[in-house]
Amino acid sequence: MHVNAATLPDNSVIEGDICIIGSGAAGLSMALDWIGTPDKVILLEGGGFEYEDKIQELYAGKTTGQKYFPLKSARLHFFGGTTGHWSGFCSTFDEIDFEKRDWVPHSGWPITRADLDPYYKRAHTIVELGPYEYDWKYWQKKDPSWKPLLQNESVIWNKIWQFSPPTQFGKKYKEAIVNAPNIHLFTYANVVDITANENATAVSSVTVKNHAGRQHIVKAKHFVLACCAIQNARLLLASNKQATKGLGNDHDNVGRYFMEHLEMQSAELSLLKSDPLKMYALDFPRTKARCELAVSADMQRKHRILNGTSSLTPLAIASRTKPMIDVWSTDDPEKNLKRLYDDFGEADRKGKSAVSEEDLTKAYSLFTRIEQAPNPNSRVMLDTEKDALGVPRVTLHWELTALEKTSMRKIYELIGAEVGKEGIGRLRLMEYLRDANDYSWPEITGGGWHHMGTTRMSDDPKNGVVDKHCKVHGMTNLHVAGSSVYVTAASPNPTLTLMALSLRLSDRIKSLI
Amino acid sequence: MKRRNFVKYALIAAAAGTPFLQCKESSLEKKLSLPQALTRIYDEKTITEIGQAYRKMVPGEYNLQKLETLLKENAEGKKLTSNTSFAEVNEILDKKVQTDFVRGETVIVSGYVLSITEARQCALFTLLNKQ
Repeated sequence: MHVNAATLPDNSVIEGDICIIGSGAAGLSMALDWIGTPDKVILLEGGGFEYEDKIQELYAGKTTGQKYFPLKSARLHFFGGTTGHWSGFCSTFDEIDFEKRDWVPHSGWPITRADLDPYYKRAHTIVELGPYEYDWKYWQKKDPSWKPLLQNESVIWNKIWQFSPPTQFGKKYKEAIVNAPNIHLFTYANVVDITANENATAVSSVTVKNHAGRQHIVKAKHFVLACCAIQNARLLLASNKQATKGLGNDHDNVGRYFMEHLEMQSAELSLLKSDPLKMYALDFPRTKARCELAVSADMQRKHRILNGTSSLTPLAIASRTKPMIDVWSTDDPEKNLKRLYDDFGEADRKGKSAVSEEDLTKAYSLFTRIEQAPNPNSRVMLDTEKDALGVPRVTLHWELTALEKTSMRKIYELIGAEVGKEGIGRLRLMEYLRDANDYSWPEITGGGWHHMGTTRMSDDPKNGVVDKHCKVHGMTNLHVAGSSVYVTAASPNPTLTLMALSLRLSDRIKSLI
Repeated sequence: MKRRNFVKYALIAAAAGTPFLQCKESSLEKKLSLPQALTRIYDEKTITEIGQAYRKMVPGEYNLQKLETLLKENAEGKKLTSNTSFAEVNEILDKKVQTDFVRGETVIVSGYVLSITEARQCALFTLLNKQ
């Protein structure tokens, strides 16, 4: 069922068994999983069913450090969350991503890839992906024209990405949620405070507000924060009546270790023979699966580098695109999205008309997607300014380390050496990667709108905010769903993994209730 | 020279030993100075740019005798002379390039990930063609 919280009598008390705060990929994955159970689920969404600027404005904030997208437009604030305009890129984390790597400070999850496998499969269905198959040979059988760039995969291997249609959760699942008798969706219900008991060991209620001036109280046995990595940290930090540093923040970890994926053009590959490289091609939104070049775990260990992948786009096209950090520069997410698609479209047209078919498939731009090393100084903090509902806004300080730069450089040295070894062609690093002693970042540096790591997972409360079950340390009934629990970022886009973690948390809470 | 023309001349030279460089027709240096893979991908300007950058990186190698000696080393037991055909020189150097990559004997010159042999070939090319 659905209720517009702006129409409820002021100071209403809403009660249920479980309260999920946020209706993006994490929150809706969980809510869908509770349909038909005997439990009453309260699902809180700050916005309505469509984009509204005054709701989006609640996400506005400041950024410092490495240049970043405007926070107001870096995610979406309405039913369905950022799936309202995502591109559907999905892949799984590798086993090494969960390991403690002595060359990656603060790495090491308390869970393994095997713990997530069954949940990845379930998440696949929700985002309408193909079979849970991440071996490129499986996909090659479906399209025999697939041919790997490199024959030897011991250094550089082919990592599969699958593509969601992309499923826009708000559209796809609205009816299922609204019609579910035990799911009580409240729109225009922005959580402005989480109230804990006196000792801050359990949440007793959350307070929701809206622009209509209505304020309500929500009570439940269990509460799940599922409103994105920046917002999860913001709410915990702002909920400081019972715990002065904020809930779950006894050890000053909330908001820290903010991570993004570095996504930027990094090298040019020139082939000896033209090749359309179909295995790596993306024809959005028709492509169901494709590969990116990935660095093997052995090479990551040997060279002490981060995990990253590289996609290939004809150079004639890629060289005509603008850096995403420049295109996505306004506070309006819809305008930014249009600019992004327009830029891609124009580059595609101009690139294809500028060169012959043979030349188009003879030189490629290599685009990096690499994890950011966990860094406590890269963080979300509360600002002194408050939003229209009285919640302190955030300042995001995005800070990179030398490890990202050295890793990116090494990845392309390795790819370059492999293509040389196999006699395929030669690779040239972009200028910003050429000097091994240069740790600065160029103007084109940007992320993928992937916010991760602000409520990281750890068995030790001193090192993390949530335990391996995604429960906030020191609290009995507050849980976190989403990429904020990530310990490390891996290279894949975060949606599939955050959904898998949310479904795992869903099972956990079912076992507790 | 445009890339297509450069590739054409390089291939003809490789196949038939035809001269196209401004140096003595039969010189071994000339035969050693054409990195085959690179000439198929890049233009003369790029090969020269690589050669100049390599010169800055390793100034001690930038003379004809030194580069010729280094390029003639490890020629699979074969003695490279001015009588060795273009095709044979290329075959031997191609194998050297391949071996470099396998052994990790690579170098980044002006951003290009190259085998040390082909970087030296570019340096030799630049040296032979300097104005």
